[in-house]
Amino acid sequence: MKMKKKDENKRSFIENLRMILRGMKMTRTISGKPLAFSKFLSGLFDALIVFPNLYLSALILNELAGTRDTQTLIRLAIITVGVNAVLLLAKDAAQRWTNYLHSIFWEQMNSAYSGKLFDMDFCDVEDAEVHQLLSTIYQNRNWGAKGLSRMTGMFSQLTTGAVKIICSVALVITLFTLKVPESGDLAFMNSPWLLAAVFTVLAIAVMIPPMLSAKANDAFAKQAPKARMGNRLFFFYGGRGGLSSSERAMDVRIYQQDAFAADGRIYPAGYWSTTFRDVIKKMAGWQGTSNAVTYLMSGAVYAFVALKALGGAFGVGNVLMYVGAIASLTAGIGQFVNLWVELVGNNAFLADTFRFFDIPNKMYQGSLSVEKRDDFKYEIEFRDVSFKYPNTDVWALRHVNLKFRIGERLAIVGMNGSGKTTFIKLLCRLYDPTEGEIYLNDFNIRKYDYKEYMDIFSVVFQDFKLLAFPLGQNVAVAKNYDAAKAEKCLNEAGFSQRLSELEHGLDTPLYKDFDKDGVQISGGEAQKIALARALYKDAPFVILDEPTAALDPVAEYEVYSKFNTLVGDKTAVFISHRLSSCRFCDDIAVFDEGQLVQRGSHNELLADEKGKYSELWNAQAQYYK
Amino acid sequence: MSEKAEKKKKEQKTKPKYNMFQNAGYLLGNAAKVNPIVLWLMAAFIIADLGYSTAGLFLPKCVIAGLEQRQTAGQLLIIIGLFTAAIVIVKALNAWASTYFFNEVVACRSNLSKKDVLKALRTSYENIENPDFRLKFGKAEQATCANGQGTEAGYRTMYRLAISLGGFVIFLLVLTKVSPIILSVVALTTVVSLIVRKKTDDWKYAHEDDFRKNREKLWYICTIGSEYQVAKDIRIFGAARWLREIMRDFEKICLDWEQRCNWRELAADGVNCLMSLLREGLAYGWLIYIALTKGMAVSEFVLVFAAISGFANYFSGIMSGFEKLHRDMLDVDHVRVFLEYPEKFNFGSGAELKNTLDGKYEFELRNVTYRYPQAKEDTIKNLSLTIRAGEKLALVGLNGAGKTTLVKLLCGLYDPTEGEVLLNGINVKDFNRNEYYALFCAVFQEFSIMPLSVLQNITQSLDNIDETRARECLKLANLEKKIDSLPHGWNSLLYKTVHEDAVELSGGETQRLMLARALYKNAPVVVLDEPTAALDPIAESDIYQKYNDLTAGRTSLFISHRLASTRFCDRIVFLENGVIAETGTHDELIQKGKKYAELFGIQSRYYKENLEAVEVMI
Repeated sequence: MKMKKKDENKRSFIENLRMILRGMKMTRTISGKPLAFSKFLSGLFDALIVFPNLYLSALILNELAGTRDTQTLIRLAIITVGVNAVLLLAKDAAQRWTNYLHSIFWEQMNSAYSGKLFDMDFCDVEDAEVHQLLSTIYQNRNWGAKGLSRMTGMFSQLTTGAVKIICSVALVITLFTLKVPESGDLAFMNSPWLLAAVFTVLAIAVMIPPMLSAKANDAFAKQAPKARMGNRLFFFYGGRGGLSSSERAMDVRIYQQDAFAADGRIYPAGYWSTTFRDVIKKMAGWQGTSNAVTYLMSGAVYAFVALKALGGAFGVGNVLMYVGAIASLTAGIGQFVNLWVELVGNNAFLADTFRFFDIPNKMYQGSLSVEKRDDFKYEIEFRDVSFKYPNTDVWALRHVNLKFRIGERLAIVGMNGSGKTTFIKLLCRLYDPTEGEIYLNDFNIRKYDYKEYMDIFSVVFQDFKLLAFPLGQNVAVAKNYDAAKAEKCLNEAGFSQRLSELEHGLDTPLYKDFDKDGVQISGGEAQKIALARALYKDAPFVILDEPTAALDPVAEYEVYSKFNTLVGDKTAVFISHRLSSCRFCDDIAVFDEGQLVQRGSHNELLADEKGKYSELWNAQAQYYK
Repeated sequence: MSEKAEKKKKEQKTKPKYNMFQNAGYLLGNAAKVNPIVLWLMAAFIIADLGYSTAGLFLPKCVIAGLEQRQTAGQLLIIIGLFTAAIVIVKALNAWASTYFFNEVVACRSNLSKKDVLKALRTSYENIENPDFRLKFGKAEQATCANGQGTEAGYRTMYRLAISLGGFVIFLLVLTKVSPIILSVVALTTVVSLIVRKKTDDWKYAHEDDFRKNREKLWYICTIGSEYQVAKDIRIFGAARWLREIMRDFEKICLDWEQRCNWRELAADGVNCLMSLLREGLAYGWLIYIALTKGMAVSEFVLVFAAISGFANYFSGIMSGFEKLHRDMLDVDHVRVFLEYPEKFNFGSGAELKNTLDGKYEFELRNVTYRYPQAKEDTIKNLSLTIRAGEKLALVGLNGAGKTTLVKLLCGLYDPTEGEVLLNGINVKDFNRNEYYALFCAVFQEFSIMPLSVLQNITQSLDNIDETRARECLKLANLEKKIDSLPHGWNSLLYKTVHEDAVELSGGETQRLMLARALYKNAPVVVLDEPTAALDPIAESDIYQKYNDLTAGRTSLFISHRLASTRFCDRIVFLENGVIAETGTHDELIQKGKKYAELFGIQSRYYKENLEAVEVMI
């Protein structure tokens, strides 16, 4: 996969806006609930709550400063207290609703990423670059909630900013329209020049803090790679899953690896503090200055408002209202500017997310239906197939011609790296050949519906994985399944004794990750379950990719001798570097450096004393003679 | 459910080892040692915050008083100017300190985290497998893993509590004129709010456990999909549908729980609203009454009204502050309990142990029995075995025979339940355990690759690297060609989880690297536990042929379940169910025709020239 990284500083205004909107849309799709609306409500009430109070308390103070009418005062007080309480409750309710909807957003985000991986071309799933990308996305999210996770807050913050600006403008307008009586000493307060000066100061003062804090945010965001590195180091040296995990404990003691964790050059305990100290000191200065400017300005506002009140433009009570409203106004504007700057910065992280979701599916997927046949007459043929892994120059497979014999056993043997597993990946169409073609019953396999084509294979891979869910579901790979069949498959795979010991039978959860009732299973048992899973699928092609590596010799013997009968009249393919397994197979294919070098029965192949097969055989058999 | 409730009670009964104040002292002491600036910054916060609250309380009062008293514009400007100057200073100080603080305080927590980890890395090996130790390690690690944990948040809680206490006193002084009854009622409203909130939290805490399991499952299923080992299974078995189905189930359970929680929270919010309505109403009512009857000035009205709500906040801050401090200090307690976990092994000075390569080390296991903690049966049963100096011993047997346990006993990773392990006649317990470990170079089945370069992984050291020997070891382990083909040679980094540009070695290559590391260590006793499992037949055969060179002049122990691989050893010990079933050379054991010979028959069956001939034997 080719991925171009765009310089984030060069995005135009429109591009930035488009990305933000796409991010907002994406969060809405992922959450699938009225999360955006709840955020909007919560932002609305959050901002709204201060204004009625500002207005009403001004009325109370003016009344106190003026006629002091008891009736009016009591009425005003009741209204104020009531409105405040109602708004507070509304704010809380909106907040709770948002909390409820937002509670599984991270999980939803994760499953969106996983979902994309489910549907992606397999070659991209195995692409190191894609992994790197996803891991960067996760790390940035975990470190500073950057990227997509930042976007949900947008809905409330935009609302808060807008409401603050609208309401405070409404409250503050009279500050400028009400005039000081021309007769007094303070008539100069009406001068348009002074007004212009006040606006200029305000405008400057409003812009400086967001600019400084944008600078600070930017400087900090630039530390992302270092922060990610710090997190990775911390997880390894400081977390239970890293150096101090129990499977490392023996090595740690014999090789005294605690010395590495103690060595400040490798794992500085104060990594965060020391790494970021220089940037943080600068940021601290900016933040301090930013606060100083804000409060200097609010001092100036205070002076302006107080002098106008002194001049008689409005009552004493209005002073606090105007001061409060202007503070809200500047905060609202600041919030908008900040938000924009922050989001533009966040776009750099968001771009990673989009790049991930935009990975196209390039594999051709046909629509031909795979005929269901009870006689398992599926004929597969490799015709001059060659294959290179993406972004490599080495032929992993070269000119492979091979036709399967229906209903028989084929063994594929060879040294590590000879192309055995690659061959299987092509067969199962996890990859498409670079050259040559693969045919199923006279049609190129690309022409079949992908999912239906997958249905004809059952594979136990070397690195298969069972999940921490009930045993039966693992065997059937489904939530609802045929229990009798699952049990039969487990028995056939040699798991019967353990199964009979399990109190909850098929409903026993595997592993102890989540359930106290869960069972630990050994590597050998896991393999048996994986075999049962392959049997349960009941596909015409059964493939075992080195399935016995974790079994001891007696168990190995059991599996091998049984397998012949288990697969019945299906076609079976074994992959192994242990040649002993071939003795069961009618047909052995020997791979070496990506090529099919020999094919035949055990005796035929052994007859060729200079062949690869003889070499491999003798290396192992010498100890048993 | 009742069982759970009991368990909960039990948990609550286990009191922290140290009280809240002792732990707070420990945390402050930690800062004083590691990063004293944190303490100065905390002081700055307290001063700045109280300064701002005080100035912010009096500024409106003074301005309005000035207006009421018709002061001159000049006087008014001076008042505003002075207040503004004070506020600008404390607010700038506050912003500066908070940015600075949040970075520096991390070092205090990291120091505790490092202590935890070093304890876990250095503890007696048996502790590693002890569930109680793992539980305590888990708690200690949890307590130091993130910014929100008590070991870091505790510092914030402390200065916030100090601010609440200070603010409470200051505001109380302002409110001397206000009737104590009013203040008591104000305080009471906050107490009611807090109690209701606490009840909600307690309810959540009590039911959280049932829910957390579902949450963890949901998280597990969301993340499992992005592991690429699963990707093949997902495609071949159509697992996506299954996963999506389970995920929807758990999503629903989680949302149901969240819904219940949030309704309760909202109810608590409602009570809080009611209380704040009461408080405000009372404040307004009383103040209006005073203003009307006693002619209180507007400025005074503003001051007292603001002071009453500030007073309520500080009062609530003190109560919730202590509550939070109590919780935070539990985290600190977890760390201390873990760090003080008792050690069984001798890590102090021990019997004299010369580490020489001449191999003059004779090991004796005398009537050794070993039973795993909480196991019902002994894994090793009254076993006696002498390993002569310089001997090449093979240990064979099926899975579960006790091979690995025996190796762990010999290497000093376990102490026997009964009997003793002796080195040259001295009980292993008498040596300093780390000096004893230094005698061994081992390749176990599980290994610990460090996120360092290939070379550093071989030498297990950053300094004093003997490059010539490292190269020899690479050559002996048959890995030289591969390593030289890497872009950065042996300076290439390993372990992708930490280094994104790390190289990835295959299982076989990793095993060879571990072999090279063992050779480099050059210790007098070699232990190889199934060192060829991940190798292909030719590589495997190659290792066997080199075995004599690899272990030249040293005592060695070779463990395998593959009988064929042990012929080149001086003596084979065949282990079955925790006892030595047979012992002798390969030929002797075959001639005996007992268990060893029988197992050998099964294993060699596939390698006989004529398959049918052996069929009868099984």
